[in-house]
Amino acid sequence: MPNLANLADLAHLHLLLNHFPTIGTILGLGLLLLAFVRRNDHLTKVSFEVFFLIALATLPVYESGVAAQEALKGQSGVSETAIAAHQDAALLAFILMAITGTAAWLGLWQYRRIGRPTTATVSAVLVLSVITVALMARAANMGGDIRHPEILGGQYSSGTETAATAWLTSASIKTFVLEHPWVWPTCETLHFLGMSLMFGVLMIVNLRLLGWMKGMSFAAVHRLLPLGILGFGINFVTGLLFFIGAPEQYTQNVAFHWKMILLELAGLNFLVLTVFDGAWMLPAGAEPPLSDKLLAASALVLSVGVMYFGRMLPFIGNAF
Amino acid sequence: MLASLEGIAFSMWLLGSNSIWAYPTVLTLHTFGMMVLAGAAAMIDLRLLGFGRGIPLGSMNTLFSVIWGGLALNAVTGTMLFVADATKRGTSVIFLVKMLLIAVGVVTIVMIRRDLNRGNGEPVAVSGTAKLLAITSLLAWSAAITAGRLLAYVA
Amino acid sequence: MPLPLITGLIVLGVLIIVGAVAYLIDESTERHERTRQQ
Repeated sequence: MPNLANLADLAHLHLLLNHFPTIGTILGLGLLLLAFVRRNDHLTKVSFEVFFLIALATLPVYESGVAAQEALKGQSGVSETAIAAHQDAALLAFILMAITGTAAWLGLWQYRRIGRPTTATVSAVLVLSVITVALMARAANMGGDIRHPEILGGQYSSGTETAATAWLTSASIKTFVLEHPWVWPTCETLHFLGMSLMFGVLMIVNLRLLGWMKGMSFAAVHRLLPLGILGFGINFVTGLLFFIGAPEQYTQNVAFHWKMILLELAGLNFLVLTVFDGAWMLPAGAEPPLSDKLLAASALVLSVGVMYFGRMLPFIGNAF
Repeated sequence: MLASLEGIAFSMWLLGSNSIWAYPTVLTLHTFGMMVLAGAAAMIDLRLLGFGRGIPLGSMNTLFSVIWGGLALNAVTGTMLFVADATKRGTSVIFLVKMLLIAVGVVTIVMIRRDLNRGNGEPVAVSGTAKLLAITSLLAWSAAITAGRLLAYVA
Repeated sequence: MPLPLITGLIVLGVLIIVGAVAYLIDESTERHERTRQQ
């Protein structure tokens, strides 16, 4: 088992996990294009699921990447500029991946509600996924430049990027967060609000699946799921600002890694809630079957766990 | 008087103890209570504002119980947190503002409950009053949470 | 500008934006669901 508080172990994880977003996005896009060619709706749905799952998988990739950066600090023979350039490219790719995953989720939700995703959603996923594949490839290429001496000097090696996205670098975000005293408290407040909104949606949905509030059908309450995603969106943005603003508070903090692990599992659980046939069939008045109850209980336990580790960040592991 | 509250054994233990069961646990329970209370209130408010229109208005009663449960938990944990830091909290404007906002939030929830229960049987339509109450509730609880977070930054 | 005012304004702004997005998604879904039922 990797030691989550050990930077070298996290760096190792990064080298393992980074293949997922790079290859996974290409796979997802391939499936989507195949779906168009074959006019196969089921393939479209599968491609959306792939995009959502790969988006989930990208979170630990980014997190472990920052840890890997810290592990390499001061190491001779490794260019910190190359690492920073790769990290900035990766951040951009990560953000686009998250947006693509969200659009894909919306499509999956629409499959449930109206039998098919809207043209707008499908177009959005297509365009976004193409951009994401390109950004992932760029980030991956720059990652290779860090420690593969055999490719340096070749024509595919990335030079210093003077991107139009020069404003979106980890360094500039960190400066922004640390220089303005209102940023951190405001982000914390928004983080609490996003969490409350998310948990509210999870409560009403899962309490119904546990057998309370039988007056509503699951289909009725399924309608609220996008609100949960919006709550998560707030927390994703504010969470990124925390993480980029003060990574040293998180990369070696065991509580933070557990929080992310539980968050990933909660994300998987949420996908099941969105597309699961069983729960969808539950009418008003009906007692839910055991499978629904287990799904619901795990959703609630996982999200309380995420809150727990989040609140415990300053107390468990190394104190701030 | 506030200083003497800080001096009692409980306060000393809560802030002084290195145990994870002291301040960290009370704080986490307080956060849990907030999340549960605000989350449930938000669901009721959002339903009244038209989201999830397939949900029958009379079917959300469990959420009201959840709100009262969260409120009770936070009254207890909140008192503990106050007592341990009484001289600072007791003279804080932001703390007073937070308490007032919570009072507004509670009153609005009670009024919403009454509005949903008026007449006999299942409530059918959402009245204009209920919509206003829903917006007030959302704003009051959001503001209370904001004030609570700012306690760590402002006197 | 004092901190609570900045925080309050940004929070209010975010809530309004989130509310607007939620409303748009919900209305769009309602239109599609209704068309589907007909």
